[in-house]
Formats: sequence, structure tokens, C-alpha cells
Amino acid sequence: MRLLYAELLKIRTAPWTTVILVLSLVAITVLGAGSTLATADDIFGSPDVVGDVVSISHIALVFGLLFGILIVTWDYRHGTITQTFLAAPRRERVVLAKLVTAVLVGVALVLLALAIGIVMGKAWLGGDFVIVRENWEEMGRVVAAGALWAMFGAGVGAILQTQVGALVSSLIWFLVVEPIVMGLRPRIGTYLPGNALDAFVSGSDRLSRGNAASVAAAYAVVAAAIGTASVLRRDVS
Amino acid sequence: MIEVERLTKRFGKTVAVQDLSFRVEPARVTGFLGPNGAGKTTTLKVILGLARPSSGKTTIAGRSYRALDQPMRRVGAVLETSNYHPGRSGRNHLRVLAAATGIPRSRVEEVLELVAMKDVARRRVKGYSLGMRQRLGLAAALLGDPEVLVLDEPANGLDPAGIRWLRDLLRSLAGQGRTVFVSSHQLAEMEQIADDVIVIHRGKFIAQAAIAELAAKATARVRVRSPHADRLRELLAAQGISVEALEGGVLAVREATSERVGELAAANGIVLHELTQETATLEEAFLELTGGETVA
Repeated sequence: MRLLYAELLKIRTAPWTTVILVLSLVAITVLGAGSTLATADDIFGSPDVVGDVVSISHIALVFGLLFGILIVTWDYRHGTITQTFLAAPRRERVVLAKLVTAVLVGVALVLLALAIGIVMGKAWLGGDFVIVRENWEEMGRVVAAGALWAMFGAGVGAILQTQVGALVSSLIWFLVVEPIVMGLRPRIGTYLPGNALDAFVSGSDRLSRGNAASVAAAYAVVAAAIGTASVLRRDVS
Repeated sequence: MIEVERLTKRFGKTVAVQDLSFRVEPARVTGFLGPNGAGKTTTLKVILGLARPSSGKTTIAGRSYRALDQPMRRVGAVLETSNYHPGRSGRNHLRVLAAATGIPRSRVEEVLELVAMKDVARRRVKGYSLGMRQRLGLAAALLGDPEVLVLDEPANGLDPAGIRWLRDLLRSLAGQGRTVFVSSHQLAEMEQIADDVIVIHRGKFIAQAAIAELAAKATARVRVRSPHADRLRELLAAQGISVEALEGGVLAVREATSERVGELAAANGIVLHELTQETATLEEAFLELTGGETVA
């Protein structure tokens, strides 16, 4: 618990990184929800509008991933990992605290994005902004995905341990490698982490939601496990 | 008390520390001395559980660091000076550490006071000078009121007044019965700060002694100038005394007192123009121990 509190305190006391990331998320969500609502004015109350607004919150998953990476790697980048391990030489506890922190942050970011969308929808369309069961279900999936994705990010951060390396390789992976594989060999591409997560959240022809959830969860757990082993094994330089 | 037993640490093919053993006693300031790259930081990292030994073991109060319950309350350590998140304030840095170890917030204010950092604690670390970072590191080490302190090059970046302040602080901590272990590559610093020194070089143990003893240990030199330097040299060598011939008929004699050299010369009718006992400085003692490798 102490370590968890310390990790949360680290986020709160690294103001600029946190503020910039959260503000970007808020800005993107507000703009996205705003433009969706503005263009949806003439088809009042269709579940699609709500669905569209909810899907804006998918962007929070990317931020969760980034935060997951940061929560692990900023200690390495700034060398504070030395003091973290001096305070808690049983490193598995530190990693566990970081994973839990990442999950909490991932969920919080999704909830923030969803809250913005819903508040704006209600304010814009009033009683015509009707959230149906389907919408709640999708929101639930995004929240779960937020937890998985932040955990995956923390795992990747723990494996690579360099902040720039982890951020850059994630970007290249999700923006370049996965789309290319998906284009050339869709049967393999479907099972890559980003696409599996997407299939879980948004649905896909190739992978049922249940299977997609299992695949995405497996990636998160495996990344976290390899990351933990790597943190335990390596000397602090 | 810190104990290092037959510690060896390899990085690939490089041997950073080789079969190193020593013991650091409480109630004294013990210096850990060696040129840059001698293996000091590596040794400290193993002691602090940050690196694994290739073989051998290290203990603090009889237990390995990782086996210590609440290690920050037992051991305070400062390793490098740049290890701060630049955007975090000094006070918040300490709060994070206090939170991780269950140390109350009020203690953060106490240690800030102790290292005279209260005025700047609100500022972000980015704007701190090297000396301020050192003080913040010390504050972090003192958070848990530990009985053992391990400090890697704590005097780096301190001005002479800062070094005096550091010496007084470390002295008073040792005076309270704590074990204080301080590394440095600067002899002059050690002379001011430490009671004892452990000298290592290229990862190997060289010497452990009280600092005054170390200086005395360096074989004092006798400087002799004589027109018959060659004959005197042979005579001394015949007695098993090591002699080095310098320019202008000057001999540097080791392991012999000036009296002995003078008597030997008189007994053999050799004229001396100069006979001086030179006391070695700590610097020379150190050079001798490390085989002439220079220290900054």
C-alpha cells in the first residue's frame, strides 16, 4: 500500500508530464465529442450518436498505454529507480505497485473521457441523448481495455526500461508494424496486440469479443510477467 | 557495521571488483578511496542490493540489504547526484520516499532543516546546483534516521565551506555511534573527512588503515646528495636498502632513516653535501600503494 501511495504521489508531483498528457486527452475528447455532437444535430437521439461519442473515448486507451510506460520508465530515466529500490529492495513489490498504479490510471483516463462525452452529450442534446444498454456495455469494455492497456504499457516499460525506447517502439509498432501485417497477412495481424484490443472494444469479423478479450489480456499479463522478471534480474546501472 | 566478504563482480569479461574483503566499523567515518574506475561505486551498489555479486557476499548489520526489514530506517544511502525527476520539487522528492517507507511527513521537514535546504525545498530540482543536489541526497539518506550511512562521492560539487559543513555533519553522525562509509577519489577530501580509509585499486583491496597511519605507512624517503653517490649507492644496496639514483648525485633512499644513511657514509669516509629526511604526504602514500597511478 505504501508503495502504491508513493507511485501515485510520483504522478501528482511530476506536474508537467501529468498535466500535459491529461490536458491533451481532455482537449481531444472535447473536440471529438463536440464535432460528433454538432454533426449529429439532425438525427436526434439515435443510439449511434451515443455510440459515436463513446467511441471517442477509445483515444484514452493510447494515453493509458503512454502512462503505463511512463510510470515504469521515468524512475529509470531520471535515475530515481536507485532510491526506489533502496527504499524497497524487494523489487517485485515495486513492480506490482507500478502495475496497479498503471491500471488505476488507465481506468481513470477512460472514465474521464467517457464522463466528458456524456456530460457534453447531455448538455447538447438534453433528453435526446439516451444511453441504452448497448452503450453501457461498450463503456464497460473500454474501461476494461483501459486497465489492460495501461498494464501492457507498464509491462513494455519494464521490459525495455528506457523511456524513449519504449515510447518510440510502441508508436512504431502500433502505427506502422501492425497496420502493415494486418494488410499483408490479416490472419496473423488479427492476433497482434493492438488489433486484438481493437477487436475486443469495437468488434471485428475475424475475432469474437470473448476471444479478443482473452488475447488482449494475455498480452498484458505476459508483458507484465516478462517485465517483472527483467526488472528483478537486471542490475541498476 | 558493513561487511564485505570475498566480493567479486564481473560485467561480461571485465572484472570490476575482485575478491574484495573489508569491514566498516561503527562510530567512525570510514573513507572508501580509489581512483575513478577502481570499483568503488560497483562495490557500494552490491552492498545496497542494487547489483548482484558474481560471487562473495556483503552484509549490513549481519544481513544482506534485500533481507533488511524497512531498509531506509537501517541504512541511508546517496549514490549519484543527478538522480531526481527534474520537475519535482526537493520537498516532494523527499515526500515520495517517505511515503514509500512509511516515514511521517514531519520528518521531511526535519531533514530539510538538517541539511539547510528549507528555503529552496519548494523549487523544482531542475534549478538546483550540484551542491544543493548533494544536500538533498543527504536529506534523503537521513530520512529514516539510519544507523548506517553509505555515501558515494558526497563532497563532489561542494565548495570548501560545503565540505567543512559535510565533515562536521558526518563527524557528528559518527559521534552518535553510526557507521559512516564515504567514497571518494580525492585524497585531500578524505584527509579532511575520514578517520579510517579503505583503499582499493582496479577492483582489488590495497589497504585499510587510520588515515594518519596510512600516511606513516608510506615509506619515508631520505634524500642524500654526495660527490660519491655511486659508491654510497653500492654500499646501501649491499645492506639491502633500496636506492634510487636521481640527477646531480642525488640518491633517494627508502626503508632507512637519515641516521643510518649518515652513519654508513661516515664509516666509509663518504662526503655528504645533503642529508634530508622527507616525510611522505598522504598523496605520496597513496601513489605508492596504487603503484603510481595518479589520482585527481
